Amino acid sequence: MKIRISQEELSYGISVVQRAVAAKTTIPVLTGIFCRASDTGLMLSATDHEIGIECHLPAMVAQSGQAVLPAKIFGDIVRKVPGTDIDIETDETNNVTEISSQRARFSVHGFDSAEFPALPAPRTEDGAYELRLPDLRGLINQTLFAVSRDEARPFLTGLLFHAVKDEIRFVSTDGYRMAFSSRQAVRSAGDRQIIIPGRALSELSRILTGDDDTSVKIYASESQVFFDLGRLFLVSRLIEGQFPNYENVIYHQLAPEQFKTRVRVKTADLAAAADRASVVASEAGHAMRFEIKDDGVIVTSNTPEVGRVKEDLPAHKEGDDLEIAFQVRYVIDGVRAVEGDECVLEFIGPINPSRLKAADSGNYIYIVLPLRTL
Amino acid sequence: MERVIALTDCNCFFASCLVVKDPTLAGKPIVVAGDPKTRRGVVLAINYEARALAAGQVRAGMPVSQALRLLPPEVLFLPPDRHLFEEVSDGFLTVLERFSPVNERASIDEVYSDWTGCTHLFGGDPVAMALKVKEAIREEVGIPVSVGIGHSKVVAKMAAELQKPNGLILLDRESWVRRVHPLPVGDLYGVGPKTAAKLRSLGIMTVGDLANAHPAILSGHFGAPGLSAQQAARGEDADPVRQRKREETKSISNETTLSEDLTDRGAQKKVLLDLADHVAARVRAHGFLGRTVTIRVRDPSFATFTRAFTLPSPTDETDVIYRTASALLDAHLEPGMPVRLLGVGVSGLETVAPPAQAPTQLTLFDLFERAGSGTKGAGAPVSGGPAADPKRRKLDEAVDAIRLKYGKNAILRLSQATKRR
Repeated sequence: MKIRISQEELSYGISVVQRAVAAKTTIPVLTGIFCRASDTGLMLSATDHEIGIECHLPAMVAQSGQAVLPAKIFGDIVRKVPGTDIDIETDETNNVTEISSQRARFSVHGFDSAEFPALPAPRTEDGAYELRLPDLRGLINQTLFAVSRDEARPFLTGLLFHAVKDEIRFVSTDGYRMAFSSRQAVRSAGDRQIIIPGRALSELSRILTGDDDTSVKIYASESQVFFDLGRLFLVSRLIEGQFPNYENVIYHQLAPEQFKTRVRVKTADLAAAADRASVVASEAGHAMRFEIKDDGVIVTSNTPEVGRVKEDLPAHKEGDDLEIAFQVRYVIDGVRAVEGDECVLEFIGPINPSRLKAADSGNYIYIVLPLRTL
Repeated sequence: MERVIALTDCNCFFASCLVVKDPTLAGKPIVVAGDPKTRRGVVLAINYEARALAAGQVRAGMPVSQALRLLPPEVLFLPPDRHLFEEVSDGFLTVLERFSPVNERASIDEVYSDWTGCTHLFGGDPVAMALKVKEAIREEVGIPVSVGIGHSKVVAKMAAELQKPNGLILLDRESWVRRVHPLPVGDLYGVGPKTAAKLRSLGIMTVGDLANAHPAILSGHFGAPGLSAQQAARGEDADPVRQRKREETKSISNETTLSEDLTDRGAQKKVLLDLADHVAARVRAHGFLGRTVTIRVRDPSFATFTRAFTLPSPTDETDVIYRTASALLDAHLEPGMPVRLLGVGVSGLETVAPPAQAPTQLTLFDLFERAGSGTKGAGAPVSGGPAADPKRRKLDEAVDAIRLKYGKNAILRLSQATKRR
């Protein structure tokens, strides 16, 4: 392999695929970045068997070939070389790669590229869903935060991807709250439910770049999901298991008519109030309390050893008076995901699930359970 | 004022406990050990009757198979009963606490008490006080104890060692020199076999030799520990009796080496339930709530791992602790893998605040279950912290109250009630 590539491009490529390099592994080759030079340029890829990321970069290829370079050293070298162009040449008989730029010349021992696992690719019959990039970003931002970290229930550590006709829904829950987000697909490949690991989407959101009219193709096989962003490609295994029946929860058990009290507030006001409450309720489990009356909403938080905060939240209220408390973190997370200037909080009672959504849109629904304060 | 320190030591504690439970065992030779049928496990305790039959050859820590060869067939090999042992241990600590306020549990069967200023009630005579203590423990708990008394912990400890079983010895400074100084240096509490051998090679053969050795020799060969060993040989030990304070408790845990390796997940979980039940009761007894549940698992090759899960709100409920532990086991131990030891712990302890300040996070799992999907896969929900259901708390409180009154085994969950392994 012999190529010349821009330092900026290569540095970007490495930073992208590095997210998939195995951190803890017994397979040494997975600590490396796979490089393949061909007519189309340079392809980088990395995988830890959970997720894999591939990145295509423009490069002048004098001789095609491949190499696996230790990720950290490769990244450090590329970041520190003096010039704007980098020459890379690999002797595939001994896996030694020369990386040179202006007067610096590195010689790096790599791994045997034949040992590197090929990333799976979608079969064409898997069919593609297609989403506009801002829509995919919205789906992730409105749900990823509520994914469970409890490994005892692996199926909750992922997000449900649910395709219903032309609609794509993402749903997540950790058992204490549930986040639902939906968007129109540009193209659908039929109704489907899969559970995508939270980590895969967290990595995906980091590398999602492009114009608002870019679209992302999503393929799903029996056991894997593929995100095709053009020059970037991310594959993840799927989580097996049965996701909670969120439709039953949202549309039947917690049907809109169940909610007896409705409060309409400015999203920014609620977010700021929750943020202030977090100052004195920073410890997990400490509550943010809502006192909802006809003449407004009083928000308080009180930690005996720390102090207290109280503020009147300008709001429009319908229905019964109510006092209810939540973990302040759950409020902050939920309101941050609202797209829209105004949001609506809906309550059934002080120990029942509550709902948060944008005032003018139904594409985000956040169900959160209160704290029982006796 | 010269301190008065007592060490109360239950002789052949495990064997004595079993006699408490089954008085027909009294006077019979007993070895407490892992199940002899499996020829596994080690000897935990031997009573004096059994020791007499083996001419002192059988010691605690010896493999059961070896003890079986050395002892005649009439010796009874009995399995340990952890609950019983702790119940008895708590019992005699409770008696001691009635006599004096400062007591330190040094191990399951030994308690140091600071009797300084307490002996006036007994005519200023520590021996008279010790006789009352022995009588009270014998009567109320049912086990014989030895009491050693001295002006420091090391003196009390050595005094208790001098006469077993059922002894009572007070060592003053003069009798310390007379009775302890002639003993081989390795008999001194805190001097292990290696140190003893090294001391002997320096010509220090007895406790008295150590007391009188030149400090420079000791510090030269052993450093600071050499000097504290000399202090001990002189009967000087400034260490106070430390009443363990609640605030110092960072975690509460229990573990058990199984009398045989368990492969079956159901059987493993039964052990977890026992442990969780016990740990939760202790958490409640201390008035704590714990946030993190830990399991500890050791396989037959002694490879050990711990896994923990932090709950969204702290708990003291048996059910929550058990289900969390159980889910951790499912998540981290392949089915069919044998285990040798299991442990359950609760940490991240905080004292129970009044209800208004200890809110509990409610969960969606009930809704999911009603929706007919989801959470069944990994067993029941790992908790939403205490109480979506206050009935569970009431149940725990009731169980604790019954056990307080009638003993720890008075009420059990059905799955615990089957004969233990």
